[in-house]
Amino acid sequence: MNKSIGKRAVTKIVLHIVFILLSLMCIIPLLLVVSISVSDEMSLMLEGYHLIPRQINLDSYRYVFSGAGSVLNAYGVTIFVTVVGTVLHLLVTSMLAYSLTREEVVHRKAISLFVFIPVLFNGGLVPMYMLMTKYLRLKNTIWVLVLVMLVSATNVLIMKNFFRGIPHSLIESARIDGCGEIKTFFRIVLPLSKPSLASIGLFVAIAYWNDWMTSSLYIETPRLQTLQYLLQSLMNNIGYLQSNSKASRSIEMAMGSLPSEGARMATCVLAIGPIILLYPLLQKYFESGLTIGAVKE
Amino acid sequence: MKKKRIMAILLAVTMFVAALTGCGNGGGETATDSKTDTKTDTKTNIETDIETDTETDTKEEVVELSFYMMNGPVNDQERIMAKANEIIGEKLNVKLNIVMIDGASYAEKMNLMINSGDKWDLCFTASWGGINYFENASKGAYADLTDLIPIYAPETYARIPEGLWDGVKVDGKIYGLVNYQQWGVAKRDGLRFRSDIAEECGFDWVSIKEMSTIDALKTIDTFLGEALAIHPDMIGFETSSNWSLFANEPLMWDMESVGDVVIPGWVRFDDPAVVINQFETEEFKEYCNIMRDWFEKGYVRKDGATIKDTTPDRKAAKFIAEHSQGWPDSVDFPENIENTSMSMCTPDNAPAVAVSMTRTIIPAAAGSTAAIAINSQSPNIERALQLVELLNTDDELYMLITQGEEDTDYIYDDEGTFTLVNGMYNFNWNEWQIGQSYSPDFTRGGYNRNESGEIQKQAQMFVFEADRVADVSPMSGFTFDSAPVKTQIANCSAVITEMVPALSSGSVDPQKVLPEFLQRLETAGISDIIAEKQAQLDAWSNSK
Amino acid sequence: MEKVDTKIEQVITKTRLGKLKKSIKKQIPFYIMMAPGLFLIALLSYLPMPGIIIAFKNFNPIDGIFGSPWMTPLFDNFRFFFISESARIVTVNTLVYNAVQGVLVTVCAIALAILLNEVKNKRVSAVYKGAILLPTFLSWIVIQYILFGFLSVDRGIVNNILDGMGKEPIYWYSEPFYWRIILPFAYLWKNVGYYSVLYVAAIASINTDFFEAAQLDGATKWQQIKHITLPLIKPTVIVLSLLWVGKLFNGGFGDWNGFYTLPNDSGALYSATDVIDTYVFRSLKKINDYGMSAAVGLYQSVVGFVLVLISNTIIKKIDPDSALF
Repeated sequence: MNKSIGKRAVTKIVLHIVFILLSLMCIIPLLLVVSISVSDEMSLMLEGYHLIPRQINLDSYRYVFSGAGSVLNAYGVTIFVTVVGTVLHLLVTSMLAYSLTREEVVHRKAISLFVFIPVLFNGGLVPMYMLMTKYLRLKNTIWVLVLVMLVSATNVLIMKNFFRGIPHSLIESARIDGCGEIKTFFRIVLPLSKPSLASIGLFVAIAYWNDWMTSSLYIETPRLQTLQYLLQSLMNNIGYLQSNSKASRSIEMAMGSLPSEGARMATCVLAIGPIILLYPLLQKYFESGLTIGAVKE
Repeated sequence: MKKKRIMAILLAVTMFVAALTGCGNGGGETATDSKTDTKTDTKTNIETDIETDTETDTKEEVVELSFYMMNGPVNDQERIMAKANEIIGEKLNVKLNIVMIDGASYAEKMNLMINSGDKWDLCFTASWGGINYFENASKGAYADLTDLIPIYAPETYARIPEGLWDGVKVDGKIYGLVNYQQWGVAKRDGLRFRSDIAEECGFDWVSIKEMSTIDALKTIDTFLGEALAIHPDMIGFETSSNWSLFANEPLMWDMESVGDVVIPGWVRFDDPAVVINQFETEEFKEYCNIMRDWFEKGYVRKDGATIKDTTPDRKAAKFIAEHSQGWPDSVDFPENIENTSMSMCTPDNAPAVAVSMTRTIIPAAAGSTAAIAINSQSPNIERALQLVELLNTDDELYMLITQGEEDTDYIYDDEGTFTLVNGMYNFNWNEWQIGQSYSPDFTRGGYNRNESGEIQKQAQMFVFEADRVADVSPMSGFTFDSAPVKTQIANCSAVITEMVPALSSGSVDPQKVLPEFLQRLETAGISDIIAEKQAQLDAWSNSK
Repeated sequence: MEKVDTKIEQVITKTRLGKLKKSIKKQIPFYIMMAPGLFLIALLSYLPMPGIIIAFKNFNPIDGIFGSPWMTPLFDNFRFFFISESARIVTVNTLVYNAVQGVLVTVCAIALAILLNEVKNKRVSAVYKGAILLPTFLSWIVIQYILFGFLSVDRGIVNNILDGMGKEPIYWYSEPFYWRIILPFAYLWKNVGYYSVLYVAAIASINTDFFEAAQLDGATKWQQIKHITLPLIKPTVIVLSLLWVGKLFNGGFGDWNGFYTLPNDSGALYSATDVIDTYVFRSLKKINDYGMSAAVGLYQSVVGFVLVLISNTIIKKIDPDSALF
């Protein structure tokens, strides 16, 4: 008895040590980013990067906030797009994925192929741009930000896989009780799929949150710019100026006064921060969806 | 029950579809979409006018023109643009909408807009950074302005040295309006040294003047050695993975590039009819040897081949010598502030002197370094041209847009120094994109109202005069069409980006690597490129 | 005779038609549910797809995609890549890195998922999960700065440590060899969180009754893993693997930015860090030729598609439900 308890305790400790090490490997680089963002620019130049900043100085953040105009507005736009986009995406994707697991749908193999092909074949940026701006007239609207990532063939296929794990008997019993297919989906299947919905949902939310490219291509009015784009453009201007300083002496003169290293890291911190806050909120959904006793075989 | 569900779903889907199509033109956050609508409106409303007398066009609607440029976030843009549009509206019945795209996405965005036929009126254009002025001009994306300039933008044309206009010509036609800058265009390259350290070592920097680059590099060899012995923390010369003293600065070697500077095929100023492979020259070989020698002696960074960003070193005042474009140099005009300090430093922490070594020339690429283009599909080409003329002649307007309002956005402090007010309107030093920053009376820039300001004006006067009489590059007006050899160019580019940084920073042994490099270029088809360039150059010379 | 035949026919048709009607009625709710998704895919993915023909055209913006003349010879846009000396090296790099990634990430992600499942304290496991997910949120540019912070020759942390120990600094950005290890590790670090979360979800959907029954039968943890967990997450592994197979010829399975950004675009490292996509991107940066880049993209897609078709057919024989289509 004692031996097995001891053994269990050892495995437990080892388990935790492994995870603590892994977690550190993931967290420490992030700490480096934060540290650089609050370091004094000159000390960075002269002494290099250190985990603990040699000289603390919030100039980088001041620069980002002052140069970034309406950061608050950008936060608003990004939050709206992320929330609406994620919810719609999950809805659309799960409905499609679920239907593809049901045998009633005779042509589901063909439809799956239809869904899969775009994963590999892509017409490129030019036709997409034409579609969005010329034919759909979505340039400079908030919907283009939501639309571009509204459906993902990969997610459909992954979700399809998760839905297959729902025991058919549960669905059957709901049908016998008189539930329509659609109602069954919303009342029974979805609640049981919380872990997969939460996982995919998290990734979709991150994709929306981090997306700056859509903004840079389709949005020209400052009022609709997303947070990431605002921060990115600040950074890009610095980077771009650096590599093209020969274009004009003005730029070369301006270069000397920009806090580039620290500012880059500051934008990164501002970009990631909210995501890290979002994660704990989603925690409860990651729990197991199937409870004991739900199925009496 | 079932029906309710179905209705709910159908409703959702319908809302969905409505959202996609309907919201393109109205609702919610799309108040700003009115701009896209106005553009489609103007197409049906405005007729092309040939009259320059716009004061009589009282019945026409205000035309909105979009101007795309590279710029970062700009504070208070609305206030300034409102004021600017008062002026513009009064004089031209036009509303200017400046669309700012961040620098890194600009080239891609403009190319995308052009390739997909999107609407725009004016844009900043250049032959560098992937903005592809020449390619777009030859594809017909930009409007042909040759005949319209004398009517609508005569001042813009007359103000700057005529030779520059050759630089924006494709097949003899002008597609861009040159943004002549207050820094002038004539180029005269050289080297810059830390003056305090030069004095310490008794280095006679004046002797470098008019030397060939190879001789100069050999001369400063001993100086660098002595300097580094005293200051071991410093770096002798700048090397990096994206800039090579040879590959990016043909002028230093008395050569000129034919078309893009990185594509192989240059000519010598002494013999501009023959296209050569610049990497096969004696100069390149000697250069590699010298850099290798310096690398081994520790004069340059050990990771010179791979380091991308030299800003940290520059800001930390680490360089003893560096490439310089400032002229007149310290021999002819010692007070020129461009030369009194090392790059990104102040005269206090890194005082410097510069020596010009090359000939004075207006490079072929000068005109296309900064220009404005008009969309060939724009319904308001003449108006757009008039707008450019206004920007270039109305100093008050130009200062307003590029610097803001005096006393609100910038002030002249007690010593008369021009300073931008923190947190107020800022144009991020991008005045060179929106018009000519040059003016004969120095009224189009933030010149200090004190002695240093006067000195700067004098130095610029120097340059302006020289611009008028300087030689124009023999390549001006020639555009190279890369289509016939694009495969070879693609493959040669790959080889060049891989090997030139290593050779230029001295981190590999040129005895071994240089022949390898030349061989790989051969395999990639460099001789085809040279032959094609020669053929096109000959055809162009003959047609002149 | 005839009358009987026709009557039988009528009966058959009636039931067939009846069955058909019934089956259509059954499918309606599903088609309603699939409608938005299918519509969006058709709109966003299929509508722009004809753009692929740019690969075969001599594209110019005035004539547009359909108006531009065809390339002569038709496959000329493909030429530059296939005749280049680097084609072989970058293709091998692409395939090798992808193979290594596929195996490495799958094994580590599953292992982590199983281990996470073993951590009984929910709060603690949530923290661990969050921690390994962090790298996924970072963009490659940021990761490059971090890496540079560690590996910079004169300012990096690693060389500072080496210096402190009295050793010579290593020129990380000039030696291709190190990157054959750094790159897979960087991709693993960035992606393992994402995949382990997926596998955690997959494990969570396994009915706990199975584990209970096994425990009652006296199975050890290891046996439970081997006989319950692994087999039941096989479908997930297969789906993810099939998706990867389709992108086998795409650097980083499509996420090639790491290969471009991390090595700081250093020429000396190309032999180890170049994949198909980075090579094409670099070669075409100057010329901005849509046709040529579309050509290589098409080549990657076609090869990937063929591979998926083959794999899918094989999977169908083994476990038909797991096949993609």
